[in-house]
Amino acid sequence: MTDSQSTIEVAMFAAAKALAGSDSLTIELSAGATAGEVLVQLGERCPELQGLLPACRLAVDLQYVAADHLISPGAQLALIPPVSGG
Amino acid sequence: MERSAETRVVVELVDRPIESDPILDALSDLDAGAHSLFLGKTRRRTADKETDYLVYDAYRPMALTELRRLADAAADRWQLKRVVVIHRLGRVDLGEASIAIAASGGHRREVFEAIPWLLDEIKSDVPIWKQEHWSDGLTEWVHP
Repeated sequence: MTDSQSTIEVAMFAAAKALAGSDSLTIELSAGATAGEVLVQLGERCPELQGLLPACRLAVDLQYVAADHLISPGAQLALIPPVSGG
Repeated sequence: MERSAETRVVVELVDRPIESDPILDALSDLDAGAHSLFLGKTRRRTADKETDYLVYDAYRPMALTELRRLADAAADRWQLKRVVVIHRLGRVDLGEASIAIAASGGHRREVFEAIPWLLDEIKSDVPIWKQEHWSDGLTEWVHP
């Protein structure tokens, strides 16, 4: 890891949690990383997630974000599979 | 549109059975002529499969934020007097309610429109997930 990288945890839920075998995954966060890059990294970190990832959204600090959203090192990240409440 | 300061919005995630009477009490408002309560309950049959029970999981802090946002939006759009949204988490047996959406307002039309709108928005955006426990012993996270 270089000075421009840090690690960040991504919370997992439902099928994503089952596929990851954990309620969170830690990935490396490069300076200037976007939400889209976080999703790509999650697929590399955990290939079992690959099939589900295209249907998932990323939440940052309790809000859905677009793929070009910049991720800050202290952000609270969660991978959100398609929801099925109600 | 500015929501009236008189509007009371209640959103909750609960780990216990949902009771109707307290919700109906919470809708009470002498200026509301229309009161309505929707309950979504665990259904036994889905096509040719039979459900034993459901389990709901949530990203709790975000789910509460989203429920509040949607309930406030409905209150604003239809000028409702009271809005109550309660979602149950954990195991929900057959015939038990996983969700209650209730509203009161001046007239029936506003209330009748607001409740299905809220349910549709909840089903598309609120981070809550349903796990089917089928009668054949298989389990399945529902990801529409």
